[in-house]
Amino acid sequence: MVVARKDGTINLIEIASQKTVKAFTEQEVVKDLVKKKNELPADSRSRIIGLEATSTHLLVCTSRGTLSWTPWTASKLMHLSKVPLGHNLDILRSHPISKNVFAVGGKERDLRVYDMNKILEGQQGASMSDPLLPSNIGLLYKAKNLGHDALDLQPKVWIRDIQFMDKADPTKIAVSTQYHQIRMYDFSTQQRRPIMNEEVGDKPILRIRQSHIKDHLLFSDSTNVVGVFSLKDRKVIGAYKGIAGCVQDIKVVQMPAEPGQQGEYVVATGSLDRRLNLHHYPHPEKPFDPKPISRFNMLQRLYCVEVDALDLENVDGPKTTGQQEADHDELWDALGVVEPKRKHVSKKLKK
Amino acid sequence: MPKVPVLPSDIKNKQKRENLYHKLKAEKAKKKLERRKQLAKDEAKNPELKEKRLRENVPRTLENTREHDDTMVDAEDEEVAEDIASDELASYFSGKTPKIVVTTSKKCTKVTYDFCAELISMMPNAQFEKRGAKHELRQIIKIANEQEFTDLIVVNEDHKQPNGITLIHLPEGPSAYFKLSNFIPASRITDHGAVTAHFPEIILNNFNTRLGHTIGRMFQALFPQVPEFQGRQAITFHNQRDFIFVRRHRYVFRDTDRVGLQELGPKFTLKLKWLQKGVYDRNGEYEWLFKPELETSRRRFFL
Repeated sequence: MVVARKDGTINLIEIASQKTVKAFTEQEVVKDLVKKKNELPADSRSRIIGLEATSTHLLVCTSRGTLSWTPWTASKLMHLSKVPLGHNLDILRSHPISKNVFAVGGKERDLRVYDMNKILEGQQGASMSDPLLPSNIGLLYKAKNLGHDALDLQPKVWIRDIQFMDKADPTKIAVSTQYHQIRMYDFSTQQRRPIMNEEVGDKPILRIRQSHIKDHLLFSDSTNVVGVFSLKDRKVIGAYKGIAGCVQDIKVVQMPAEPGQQGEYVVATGSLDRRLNLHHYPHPEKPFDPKPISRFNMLQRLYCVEVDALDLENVDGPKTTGQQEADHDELWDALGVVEPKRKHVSKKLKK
Repeated sequence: MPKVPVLPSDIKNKQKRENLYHKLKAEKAKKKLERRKQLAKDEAKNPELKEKRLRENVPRTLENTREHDDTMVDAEDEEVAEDIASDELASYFSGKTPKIVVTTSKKCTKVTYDFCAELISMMPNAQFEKRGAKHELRQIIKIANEQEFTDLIVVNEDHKQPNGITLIHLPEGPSAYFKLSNFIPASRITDHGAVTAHFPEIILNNFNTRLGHTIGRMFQALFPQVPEFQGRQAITFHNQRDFIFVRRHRYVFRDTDRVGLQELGPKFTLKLKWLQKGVYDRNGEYEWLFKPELETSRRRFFL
């Protein structure tokens, strides 16, 4: 499991022994942390916004656009020089299967999809005298903003989260914005503008997550709203109750089930109020159930939830009461913030 | 034939009915008094009976039937202690002097200015700044940071009454919004005492959960770390059922058992509405936000 922290260190941790096998440091983040608040306000400090791992390499991206592609055997992060990803980035996410394709977005930085292989080829070809690699090196797709609004003003762009919607195809992407919009892009067609743009609520949407149902997107905003959004109906199916703080990560998990039965789907949310909440995933036939199944006090503000699917044990005995004993049998990799200086962003190492 | 007792509701004549009712009431009170006198006599003879009664006859209250909260801070838990010790307020606990600026919402009235004056008298090293028409909160925060203030308090007014306090701990600290109610200025408290400039002692009661701890620390960070015991002034933040009662007293020890208390300053009540991580931002991330859906039971409290 790879963990990136707010102070710039990136650790590779072996889950079983909980030991840090490997550690890297992103110097840009470290330098920015040291600078005084007068020189550099907190929100423009560099932080790690993208962390992706393959079996051979580690991809790290900071909010200034500093990209590094490091083999696991290296001792330091190997930055790719002069890759013009842009500044003020908020999220970098790779396609779950084709890890070489990744998308970036940020404040006033609309969605762009790159191919890592092409960037690496460009790196090899670039000479020392080139001040910058061509700005479209590795660029696969670039989103176009919506047209001017009624006042003839350009709509503001601030992407907070990106999800690749199709496992086979890196052209379908969902994006959530600071201006409470959820957008869908389909780059397989000629259209560079979003194919869908919906206003959801009135607070910035910080996280969107895909679930096992292709039509649904789980989203969370900066207050304590977590809901399920239907892309086909273009509206919110329901919002979950019982959460007091801003939810920073959502995961859909299929609970282990008796052989022959379908495991129930459960939504796990980690929030700043130091709790891990579990809710029922909306069942297609039953009405939406907003009530929490259970919650766990995690003692620290949570920024990321990861589920170790390999370790889900079988539930013993029949599911007796409404209490979900299954939850206690699962192994949660819920990591939280220890100090305000540290932030865990963990991704499971894909083999 | 046994006598059937006559009830007042059977009598149609109002005067007679009233007489009977008062007679029955007096009889009931007399019986109660006799029972209590007898009980007092028995307990005077046998103190064990009193202890037994006190032990068993504990009335059920909302506080002692409070819904179990798993975020109650366990003093021995290292992880929690470390989390608390390294939060944004840590600089106060390593010696930084608090410096507070109090301001109001735009275009407020006299009552709010009076409240601000009382607030400033409560906190040493606090100053008031009048809110101008063009002063936006983001700018105020920026300027306060430049001037090295540690806390910013914005008193909100509505319908000519102060109704809320936004407490922002400055460098990067948490912001909290409290609903303010029942403000009574010192002048309207009978026999109130005179305030002196001594640093007060702070009493924080019942801030038990993790959220409560954070709020308690925020209050603590408003006051100088070392009080002046000579002044015998104490400011109490008493949390009960999520309402925080703020009082200021002067105490005097009359002898080893008895303490005399004189109420000094303003009294007001606060209730936490939300807590944001970081300095206040309309689109910031809320660490805790009160929504009526969280009130699932009368016995559930958050602080």
